[in-house]
Amino acid sequence: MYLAWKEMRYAKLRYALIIGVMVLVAYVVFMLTGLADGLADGNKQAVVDWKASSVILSNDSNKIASASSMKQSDLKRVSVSDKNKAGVGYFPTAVQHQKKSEKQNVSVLGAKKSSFVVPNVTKGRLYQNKHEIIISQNLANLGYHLNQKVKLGSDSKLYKIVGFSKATKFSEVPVIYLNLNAFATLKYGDQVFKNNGEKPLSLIAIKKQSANKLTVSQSSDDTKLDKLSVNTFIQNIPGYSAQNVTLGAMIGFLFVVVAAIIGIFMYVMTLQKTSLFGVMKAQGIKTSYLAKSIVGQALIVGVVGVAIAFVLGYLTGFGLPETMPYSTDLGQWLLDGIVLILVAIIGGLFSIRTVTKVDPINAIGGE
Amino acid sequence: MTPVLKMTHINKRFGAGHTEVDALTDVNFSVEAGQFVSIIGPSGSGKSTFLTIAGGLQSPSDGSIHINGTELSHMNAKQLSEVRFNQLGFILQASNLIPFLKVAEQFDLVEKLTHQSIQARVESLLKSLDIEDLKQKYPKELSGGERQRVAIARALSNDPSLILADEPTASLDSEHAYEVVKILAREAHEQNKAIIMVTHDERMTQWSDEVYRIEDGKLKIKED
Repeated sequence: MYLAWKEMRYAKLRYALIIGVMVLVAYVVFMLTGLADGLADGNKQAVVDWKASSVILSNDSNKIASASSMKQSDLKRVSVSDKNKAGVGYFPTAVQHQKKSEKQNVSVLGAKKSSFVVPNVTKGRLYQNKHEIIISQNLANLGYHLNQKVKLGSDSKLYKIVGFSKATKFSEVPVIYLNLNAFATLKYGDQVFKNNGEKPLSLIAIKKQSANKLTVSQSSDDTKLDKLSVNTFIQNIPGYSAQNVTLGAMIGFLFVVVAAIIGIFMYVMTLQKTSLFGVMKAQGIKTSYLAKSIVGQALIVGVVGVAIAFVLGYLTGFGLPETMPYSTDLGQWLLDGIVLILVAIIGGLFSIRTVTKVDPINAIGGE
Repeated sequence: MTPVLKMTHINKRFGAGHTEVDALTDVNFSVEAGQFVSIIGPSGSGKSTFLTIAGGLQSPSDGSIHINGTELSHMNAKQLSEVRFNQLGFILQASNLIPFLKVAEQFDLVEKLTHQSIQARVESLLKSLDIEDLKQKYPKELSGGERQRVAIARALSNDPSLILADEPTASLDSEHAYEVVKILAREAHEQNKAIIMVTHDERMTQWSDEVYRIEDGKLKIKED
């Protein structure tokens, strides 16, 4: 490492440049990771907040909440205690200020106010009747406030904001909670139901019971229901997997780019130094020492580059607009950082063969 | 006394069949501690081949080499590397210094690799070569003569018994060249080292204890 450090100190500009490239690539990796995590969170956050273990959807929905439809009476078919199951209505729509024309897309979730999926209210109170709603903090930040009346979907009656919950998203838009009757009206308008059991639900969320241990009774005229783990449910949110795979592939490709950049740089540096390596070998300095020095430099470039990019990426998180989904998952970044440093070292390893092949005989004058 | 370097019936051939070239033919040579020996010869005479074989950088086709009584021909690359590091010092034409290390750091590296303190030795070497003031300079900041003096100090720093100098004066003007050769002679006598200098310049041989001439791969003692 002594040689590695001293050479980097001597050739500051060269190594500053390569560290600069390393910083840029690592920064892009962190940004993409932040973006991937942000998008993923935005897609699923509300469901994650439920802390549910499994989800039941209608069989014909093909595992997608917006296409799933069942009746409130279907709740009884699930063999779990009442406090561990929650009927949820999901309706993607838009919210509008009473007197303004601009609209904001939201995910409306209907649930009994006592059920476990309803978030804690951070300000104000829970909804008590059909035309009261609680909104997530990120929607409040867009200019909505307590006791304000807003228009939801195509319902001509106004809804009153009575509480805020912590910021969350589902399907990339902020979340509104309201009761199941309001959900029924938003989704089916003025349609009259024979009794409460006939009223609609989109899905049932289950706590503390894994999907394969759940039993759901099934008779011939019941809606066919599917049991899924929460994880499967999230993977099937439209766009979720596609997004993750795409961004993941880009990140993976950048790892290869890092190995190539460091590999090429160290290789060129090694070629420039072959005569010096010849002299050093003639002096009896071991090849392994020279090889360690090259790998050491790749390690230093990797560690310094990743550390700078880490700080930059972290600071970037504070400067981005609300509309850009970005989430700083330090655990994931740490993993990215370790992989980046490892591929930098692999890049350095390419040059070792060249060092091994340098013949010390070349150090002595040419005849 | 065991000679520091003893070469017996050394032959070195390159190529095979009709392209075969004899680089060295039946070379017998030995040098003892405290001796400063010059080998003179034109280019293509086999000087460099002689030096690379003496330094364990390549093996002869026939014959044996002993350094301080140890036979080199059975050693592997790693063992040869250790012999070179501990018992040999090289002084090369252009300088054997590492460009990105300051003068003092050249010796720090040797110290790190030997795991022994050589500071006292280095201090007295730098003093005797009059290059104490250059410690914080990089090789490129030194003049050719200064650089060769540092190279001599580097070659002597880990206390080798044999120094091989390959045209150490080639890049110097005659005044500096004489000075470097005188230093080599002095170090051989004062520090009791065996020093072999290969050169093509007759004028440089006047301080040597023995002068050999090499021509067409044959080594003979030079008779004036």
